[in-house]
Amino acid sequence: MLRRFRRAQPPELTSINYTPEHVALAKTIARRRRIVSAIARSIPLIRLLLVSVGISWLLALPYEGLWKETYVDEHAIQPAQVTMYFDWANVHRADRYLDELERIANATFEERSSYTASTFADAGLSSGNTSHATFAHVAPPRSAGTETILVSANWISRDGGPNLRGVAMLLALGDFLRGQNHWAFDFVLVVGDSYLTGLEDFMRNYHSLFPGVLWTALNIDYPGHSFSHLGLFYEGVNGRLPNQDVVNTVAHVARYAGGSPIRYHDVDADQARSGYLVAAKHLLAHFSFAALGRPSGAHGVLARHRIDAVTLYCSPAEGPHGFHTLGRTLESTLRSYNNLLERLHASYFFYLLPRPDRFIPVGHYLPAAVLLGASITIGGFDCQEPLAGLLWLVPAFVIGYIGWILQTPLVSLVALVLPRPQGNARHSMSALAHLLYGALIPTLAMVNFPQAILLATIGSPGTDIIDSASWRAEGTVVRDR
Amino acid sequence: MLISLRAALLAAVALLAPFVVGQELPPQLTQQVADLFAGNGSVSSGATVAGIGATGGRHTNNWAVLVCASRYWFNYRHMANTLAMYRTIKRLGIPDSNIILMLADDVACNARNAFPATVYANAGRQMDLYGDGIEVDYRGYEVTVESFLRLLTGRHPDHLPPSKRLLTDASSNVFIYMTGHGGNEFLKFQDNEEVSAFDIADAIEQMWEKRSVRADVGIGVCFGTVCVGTVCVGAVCVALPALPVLPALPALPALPLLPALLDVAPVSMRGVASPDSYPHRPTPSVPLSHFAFRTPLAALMLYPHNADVPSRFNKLLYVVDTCQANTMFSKFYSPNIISTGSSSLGENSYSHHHDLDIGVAVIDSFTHYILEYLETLGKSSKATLKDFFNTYDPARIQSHPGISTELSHTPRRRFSSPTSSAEWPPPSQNVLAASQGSRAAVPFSEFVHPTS
Repeated sequence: MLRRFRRAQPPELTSINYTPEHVALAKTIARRRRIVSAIARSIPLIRLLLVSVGISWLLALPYEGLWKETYVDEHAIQPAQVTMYFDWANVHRADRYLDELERIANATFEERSSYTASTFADAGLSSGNTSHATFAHVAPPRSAGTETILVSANWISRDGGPNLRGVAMLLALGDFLRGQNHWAFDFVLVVGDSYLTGLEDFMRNYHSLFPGVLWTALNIDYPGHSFSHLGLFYEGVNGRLPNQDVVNTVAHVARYAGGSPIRYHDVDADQARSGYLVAAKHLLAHFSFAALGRPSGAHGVLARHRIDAVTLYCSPAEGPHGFHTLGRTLESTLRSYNNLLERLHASYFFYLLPRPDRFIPVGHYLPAAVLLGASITIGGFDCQEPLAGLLWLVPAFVIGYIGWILQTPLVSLVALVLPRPQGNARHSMSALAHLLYGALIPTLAMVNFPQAILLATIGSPGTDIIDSASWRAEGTVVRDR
Repeated sequence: MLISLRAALLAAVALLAPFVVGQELPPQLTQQVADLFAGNGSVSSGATVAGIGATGGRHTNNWAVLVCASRYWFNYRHMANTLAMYRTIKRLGIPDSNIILMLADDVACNARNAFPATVYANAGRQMDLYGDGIEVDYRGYEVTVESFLRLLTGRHPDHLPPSKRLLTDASSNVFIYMTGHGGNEFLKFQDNEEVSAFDIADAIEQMWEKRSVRADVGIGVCFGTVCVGTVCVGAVCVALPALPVLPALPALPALPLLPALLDVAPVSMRGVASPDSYPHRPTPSVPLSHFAFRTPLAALMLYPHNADVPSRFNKLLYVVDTCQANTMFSKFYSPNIISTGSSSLGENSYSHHHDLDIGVAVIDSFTHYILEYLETLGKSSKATLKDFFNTYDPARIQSHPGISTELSHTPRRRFSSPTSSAEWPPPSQNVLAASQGSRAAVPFSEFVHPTS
């Protein structure tokens, strides 16, 4: 500051008469312009750095260092601490039900539904139908009736074949539950038509059929003759996951009470192969369901109603397990659910499962999506007139809205034939789109991480860099002087 | 009140002697008679009791308070703990009228109980603790921190039935057993509130200092030259700005207070917990100048306690089975308390075993082992607390139980000041029985059935 007073040069008479304030201001402006242009010049480099760190973080997810060991968090559950009463007599009943189901396997829905309803009624349960599902309501003698557990087995298995043994298991379970006095919850046993439609239809119509709130559920999927492993499928629609306690409880109970080993997604976690590859396989299987929002089992339709559920898939094998193991696993899991006093809230809702007994908490995988989203957001910073292309975004939003109403993404193909902006408006629209998209990725990642990664990959910075290079060639962007 | 035959004879002689003999009694007989009627006579059982101290052996009755502070099905073992202890206490001689049983939940009638109307404390289900003959005084949601502290201090509304009151007096030995979930210096009640070790210490101190209903001006605290005192009528205490000068008071009772008055430490408000008054805090965190008595005028606003007001217990045995249980009795500052807990700071207390048919854990480890020992005692057993504490085995209990007997006969200092904490031995947390010496040589029978 004092320099201004010390300078004793007389002003040049031929030049414009700048005051010291002018000079200082000019220097400030020039300095700022230099900083901004330096950043703008290095934006591609920053983006490249963020993308590479993000991708390497993704590749590090199957590595053990990011994992933690699973545990059952809700103290009330006490998994596998109780004697099971499901025994060979119940297995025999299941076999008899199976014989009869095999006779009517190809009949119409009305015939099958009347059979199941009458079988439930013979077991002493109140049964009924909705348009695509049959259900039975078990009311244990000392239950308050305020909460209900749902157990379902649909006619079609997740691999497309008939799920006759699953339905037979459910019928035997209904017969087994009757008369026991240690249940504090009601049960509703649902046999839904085809793979998902039956259960979905039941969920839309069940509210008037019985009192009681559904907190937890189980879905039985037993396509083969016997099984060697119990596969757990846990993804719901839109990638929504149940509370991790459900997964951990079923895994613990199956191992210690049922006696059968557990797999996630029916991926063979053979220890002989590399742990990294096995974990990558698990994660890819999970991503393939959740990225597109597809449920991995019929339990998925329950996720919309905030019901924590998994599908027990008995992966077909010549192996040692059958109705007995499955029945005991179901019973012990239901006893654990029976101990609950409030909705599951203790354990994690956001997690990745790379392997049985291990999980990745949200803080360990979310930064990957945040970095990828940040790289896209930064791509929108370098714009001189940000609002020039604002109105060009309106058609994009309208197309998206129409696509949401019509429930199809194909509407976005219309965007190919729409007119495109030029020059500054184009650059501005591109920058705004980058900002919006980049903000969407981390937000979505919290709720559905695989879908966010998929969107980040689609809006990949590779095309962006090419795009920005083409603008440089056009010379429409003034970077620095 | 039971009076020994010898004392009765003494009384008869004392009363009749002037008529019969017509001369004065020998001086030692006079003194003994005076002691007997003043309540300080040595009415004790046949066993020699060492280290009782100034309070003398005036134990005539026993009371027990058994508290299960947690509810819900998976806390079955806490209710089983309490009911098992209840059964043992009854077997050893305390009648139902002298037991306050507080159960926060009713697992016997829980829908998840496969054996309705029963509670078992062992896996083979050999003995039903619920049965026909239990009397639960506080049940379900009545078990709260407030009701527990009111029980100890005796501050109840008039309409509360006597079966819910702790009707102890100065010659009662009280046994308090608490179980539930806990942590460092707290115990969880009903899954939504906590009682802290300080609260219980204060309640027990109130039991010791219990006074009759009259208006008092209590001791005040001075902040600079502004002083606040308390006026109490019965259970209600009000803090008021204190008068700098009170009407002339008898000087004699105030004299013991003067050394404390000139002390720079603050004095606690009666009935209000002030952490700085606890004896084993080394230094107050507030600058001492804030609390200095600046003028001798402050001395005049103090009104002494009456040292002869009867308390609500003679001796207290405090047993607690929670996680980090030893911290629960670390804040006691009243005399004649022996405490024991199941685990030390930073340790969990574990359940002992499950019953697979019931589906939950049925007993806690510490309670299981102490009941295992207590089942070997009978009503006429001469075993002492020292023998009891000697059976503690941290390896089997899977935690380090603690014993505290430091408060059992140390004379009480009325105005404890932090600066002289070196003179007040802090109660130790993890000292095993072997180092307790004679203080723990108290017969367990003193807490379970009255002396003859």
